[in-house]
Amino acid sequence: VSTFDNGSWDAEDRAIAHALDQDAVPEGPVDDEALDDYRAALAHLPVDEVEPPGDLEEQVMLEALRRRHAAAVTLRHVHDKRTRRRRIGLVAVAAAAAVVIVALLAGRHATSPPKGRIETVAVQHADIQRALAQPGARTGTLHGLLTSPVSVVLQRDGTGYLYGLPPSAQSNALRTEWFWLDTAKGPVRVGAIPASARDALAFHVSGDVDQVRGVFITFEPPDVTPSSPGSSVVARASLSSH
Amino acid sequence: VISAARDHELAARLVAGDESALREIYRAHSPAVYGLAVRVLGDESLSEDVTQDVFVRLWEDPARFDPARGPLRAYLLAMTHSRAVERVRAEESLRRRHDTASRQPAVTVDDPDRVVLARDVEVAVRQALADLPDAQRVPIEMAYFGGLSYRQVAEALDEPEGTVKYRIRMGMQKLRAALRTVGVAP
Repeated sequence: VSTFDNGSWDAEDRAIAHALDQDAVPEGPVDDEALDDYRAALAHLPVDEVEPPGDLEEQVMLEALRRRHAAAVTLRHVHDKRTRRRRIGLVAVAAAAAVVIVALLAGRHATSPPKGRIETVAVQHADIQRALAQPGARTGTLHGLLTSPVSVVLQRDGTGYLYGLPPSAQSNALRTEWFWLDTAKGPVRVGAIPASARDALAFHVSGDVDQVRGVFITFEPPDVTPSSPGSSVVARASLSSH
Repeated sequence: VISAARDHELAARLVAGDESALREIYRAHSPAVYGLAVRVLGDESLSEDVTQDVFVRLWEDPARFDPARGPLRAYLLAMTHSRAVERVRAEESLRRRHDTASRQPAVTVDDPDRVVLARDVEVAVRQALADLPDAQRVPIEMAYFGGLSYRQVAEALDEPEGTVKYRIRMGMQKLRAALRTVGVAP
């Protein structure tokens, strides 16, 4: 083994000395690439790895965090933001799904057979006027055995009014007047015209309003809920746009 | 490659202040750090101090670690060595170290990932070290594991300091060559 050394220090000498943490290294340029290599090489020299005392980890963490606070809040904030974004995304997806569902339901309603019910609300003249003024509202006049014509208006949203009811069109102890929808798929019961109804009543149609072609009134025996209209249609009207 | 990517990720998390990254690093490398400190210092209490110092400094100034310049393990061990040598010199514990230099650690730990990833280079470097003539290997070990200065090594071996420096250089170059042979040098 050669023992030659001319006493000079070059950049590689300094790199080696720094890698070995020599404290008396003459000043001068250092070969940084060599220094990295030497440190890497030394890191692979055989060193028995020893598990440090168990409590040292917590000591290290405590001291580290005492010196420099963790960005835990920031990270949580990031996490929260991500969570929030995920939630917003989920909400958006859910909302979109809801829209689709509603649309589907609406579609179902739009294509489902119309159903009707009598609304137990007091009807004002202004209500009827507003209904008549609604775009797409359809109207008709029931002619028949009633003492006077009865008018009907049905909005596109299913809100309808029957007005101009004569006393003869009201239910009494001997009979019950039933209000029906005339649809493409047959008659649909709306309900009994209550005796309390004066000259107007409100009704509502759900489902495909457009399937409602007209309305009619029947006389039915009292205390009977007809599943289908009898033969005694006392007035009928077709609906048309006005 | 996997290890380098992992180091990059951990470095980024450290810079971001993610304390869980520090914990991961501690668990992965503390046995090597502590083991080297024990080897150099021969004192468990001082080794704990050095180990704590290394990881706390990493946390305090994570940007000092540049993954492009080498693996995190090398960075930590270099810092460990430096701190340990500082302690050796500051506390003049040479005698105590010599008394305990032959003591073997009670527990050894192998990190499976590290072993797999570094096995080739570790084998190569260790083989290169084993292949060194004693005249080169001994002064390297004395300087590195013993924390001795060239002058102290020279005195211990009764050789001129220049000779020790030269032999160390020759030996270190062979270790570096072994490192580069397996293609893991930065």
